[in-house]
Parts: sequence; C-alpha cells; structure tokens
Amino acid sequence: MDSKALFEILVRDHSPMLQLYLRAVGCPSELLDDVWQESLIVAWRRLDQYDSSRPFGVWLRGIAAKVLLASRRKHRRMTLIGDESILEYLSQRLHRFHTLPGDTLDAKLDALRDCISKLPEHERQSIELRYQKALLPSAISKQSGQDLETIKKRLVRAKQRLRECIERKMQATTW
Amino acid sequence: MDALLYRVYHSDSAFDEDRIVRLMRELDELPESQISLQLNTGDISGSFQSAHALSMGGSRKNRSLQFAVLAISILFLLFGWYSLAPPKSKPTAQQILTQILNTPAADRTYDLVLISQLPAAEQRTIRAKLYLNDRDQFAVELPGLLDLGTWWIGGTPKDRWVVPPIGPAMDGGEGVIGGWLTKKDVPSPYLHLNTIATRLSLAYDLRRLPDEILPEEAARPSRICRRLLGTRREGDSSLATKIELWAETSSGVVQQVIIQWDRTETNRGPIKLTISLIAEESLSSAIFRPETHLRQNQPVFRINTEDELSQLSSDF
Repeated sequence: MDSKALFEILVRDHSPMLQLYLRAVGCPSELLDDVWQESLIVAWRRLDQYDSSRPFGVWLRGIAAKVLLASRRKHRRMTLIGDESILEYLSQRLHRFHTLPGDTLDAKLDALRDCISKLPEHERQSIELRYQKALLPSAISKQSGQDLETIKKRLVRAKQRLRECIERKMQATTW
Repeated sequence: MDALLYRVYHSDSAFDEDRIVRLMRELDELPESQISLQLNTGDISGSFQSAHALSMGGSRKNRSLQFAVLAISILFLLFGWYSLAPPKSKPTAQQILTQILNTPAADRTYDLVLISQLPAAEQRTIRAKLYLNDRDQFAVELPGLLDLGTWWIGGTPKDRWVVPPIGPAMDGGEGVIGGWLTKKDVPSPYLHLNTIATRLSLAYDLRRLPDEILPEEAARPSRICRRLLGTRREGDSSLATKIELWAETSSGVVQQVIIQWDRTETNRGPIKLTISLIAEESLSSAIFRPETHLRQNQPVFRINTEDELSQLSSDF
C-alpha cells in the first residue's frame, strides 16, 4: 500500500469531521469545498511536521483553522465564529464527540438522533424545520403562525436540551 | 450544535466521495516534494527499525514505505476514527483494524499454542500462557522450550527480556534478542498483539470475513466477533503467511489470533501460533518484570549486540 493510498484512508476517516468543523466555525458554504481541499493538501505537504503524540483529527483541524484565517484576509465579508483560540476550543470540543459509540461519524450521530427523538414534539418540529428544511426562524414563524420570539426561544431551548443530552451520553460512554 | 444538526439531516456520501476522488487526483499532480521524514521509531516494533528508521532523501519507494509506517503509527495513536462509508454501512477491514489498534490496553491472559516444524519432519507443540497489561507489556511462560525447562520471555514492542531455565537472563532490544528467539523457533514479534495488528496494516492484504460467534468457554461467555484475514504480500518471506484475527464487536478486544507459516518438511520453524483470550482479570505487575522469574543468583545481562548475545547464549 503506497503513501497516497494510506493518506486516502486518513482522508476518508477524518473528512466528515473536518467538514463539520468548517461549518461549525462559520466557513461560508460557497468556500467550504475550497477550504476543505486546501486544508488536506497542506496536511499532505506537512505530514513530516505532524506530532504523532496528538490526535490526527485535531492536527488536521488546526491546519484548517489556519487556512480559514488566511482565507478571511482574502474574503473580508467572511465572518468566523472567533479567533484562533476559539477555533482551537471548538476543535477540542469536537474531539470529545469521538467518545460516542459508533464506527463512523454517522453512527455517532445516532446519539444525536436519539436525543432529537426525545425532544418535546413542538421543539422537535422546530429543529426539523430549521435544520432539515433549512427554514429561517422568520419562515418558521410565518408557516406556523407563531410569534418569532417564541420560535427563537424554542430553538434555543431545544438546542440546549440536545447539548445536555449529548453531554450525558459522552460521559456515559465506556469502551 | 448547528453543524452537528446540519450533518444529521444532510449527509451526502456521493458528493463526499466525489470530493475525495478529486482531491486524490490533485495530490497525484503535485510535484514530488522534498520532505525529510524522520519517524518516531518508538511507536513501532523494533523488528521494523532496521528497515524503516531512516531519515530519507528522494527514493520514492523508501518514502512510501516510511510514510506507511508513520501513517500506521498515526492510526495507532488515534483516540477515535471516522469513515466516509455510507450511513449504517458495515466497517471495512481497515476500519476494524483501526478499531482494534485503538482499543485501550488492559490486563488480559491468553492461551498460546505454538506448533513448530523440527528437523526430520517432526513437529513439536508447546502450550504457554501469554499475559498482557495496560502498559503495553507482555510476558510469556514457555514450558519445555528446547527441552530445557520453563522459560520466561517478556517486554514491550521495542524491548525483550528472556529468563531461561539455565544460564544468565538477558535484557535488550527486540531487534537483537527477538532475532535470537526467532532462530530458536520462538516467533518473538508475534508475542505482542499490537505488533501483530501493526504488521497486518503494513505488510498484509486485508479481507473482512463473516462475523462469527465464539462459543462459551469455562470463564468466557459466547461473544460475537469481527474477523479479519491478512494474507502476506509478496516481498518479505520472513513474515507469517496468513494472520486471522477475531475481535469482539462491541469492545474491539482481540479474542483469538491464528498465525500460519507455509513451510516444507525440511524448513524448520513455527508452523502455527494460536492465541486465545481466557481472562480479563487484573494481573500482578511482578509478572512483567524479569527479576520476578530469576533463579537464585541468576544474573541479568544487558545485551546490545548480537556478538554479546552469542557469547552469553552458547549453552543453547
């Protein structure tokens, strides 16, 4: 098996989480593909600098953060979630997501799907409209006939419940 | 949370696959870069060091081989891993192996059965106990090796110690002592389970076999296992021909390994090594120290070279 074939295995293993990270830190959708590709090309070129005492996913996301920050200088309207320390913090938070059971990212997301299924009905519906149908809160408010502030609070409460549910599952995980 | 929720509802594996194919094509078109790759050889078995522990220059084959070792070391140290497989798909052989490599080390006891080919078309069977702990150490109690009595062998991926029934005990690198043990028909690198898994990654074609239920035994309930078969690639005939491995589906703990070598009747050496998990109970740390097994007044010598080893081991 040559080096590129092995790198491809690493790419396949870490690409979903890298994409998730880029979305989480505010990479615009239209730039996500380019930033993803550039991050992996840089990782390939800098593999000799990789410190094998660190998890590969964390290292890769560190590269992606630098690529993003460099991209922001070119695309001045890009709004990232924070500076380098915030990007690092988010990467570490995602690394904790590793602890959930499941061989693939999608299998690990089953934990979140389980949490969603346990939400109160109106909160679950709001989450689905917001993230599955990609409706903005204003559109959800219009569709449901409910006050915009009510919809926003409902989404905040639902995400808080989901966060707590995932935290409980991460703490409960043994391997 | 927003990003996780987005992913829950929008997983496009076909698009992801297309993106990866494009990336790999892009990497193919990149000019060869002058990368100086220095490996942390502490992460790999000493038996690989002579082949792989190089600071390399421009040889494409060397670079590929050394990157292979680095990549496997990376996989070895990962806490978790992901796959781009479609949702709910079964893990591949490589993913199963990564899972095994990431399983936390713990105190475990295995039965070991070694069948060796001897001169004059005879075979010998040795049964032993293999002990592993959570500090990546192993110890093996080998009765009847060389018909001299009980031997104790132990170490880590990098080091070996040997306490024979006669003569001095020895302590040194896997490359020197392990090589000597191999000549005595003890397949030293295969006594450390993570070394087996690492070898599978590096030098074998992997295939996933159907899951199997290992039956209930005295101290073990029945358990569903994933199975891997590794077939040695051409090139290194010193390696075992086939390695078959069973790992419990839920925990990733290796339950059984069968290692086979193809030999003719005149070719002395191991034919088959079977390692079977029998207990996951706490073990005394004393087992993993050579001084625990010394006879009274038996000295321990640090061995650095094969010459030193030859002088000390002339009794065997």
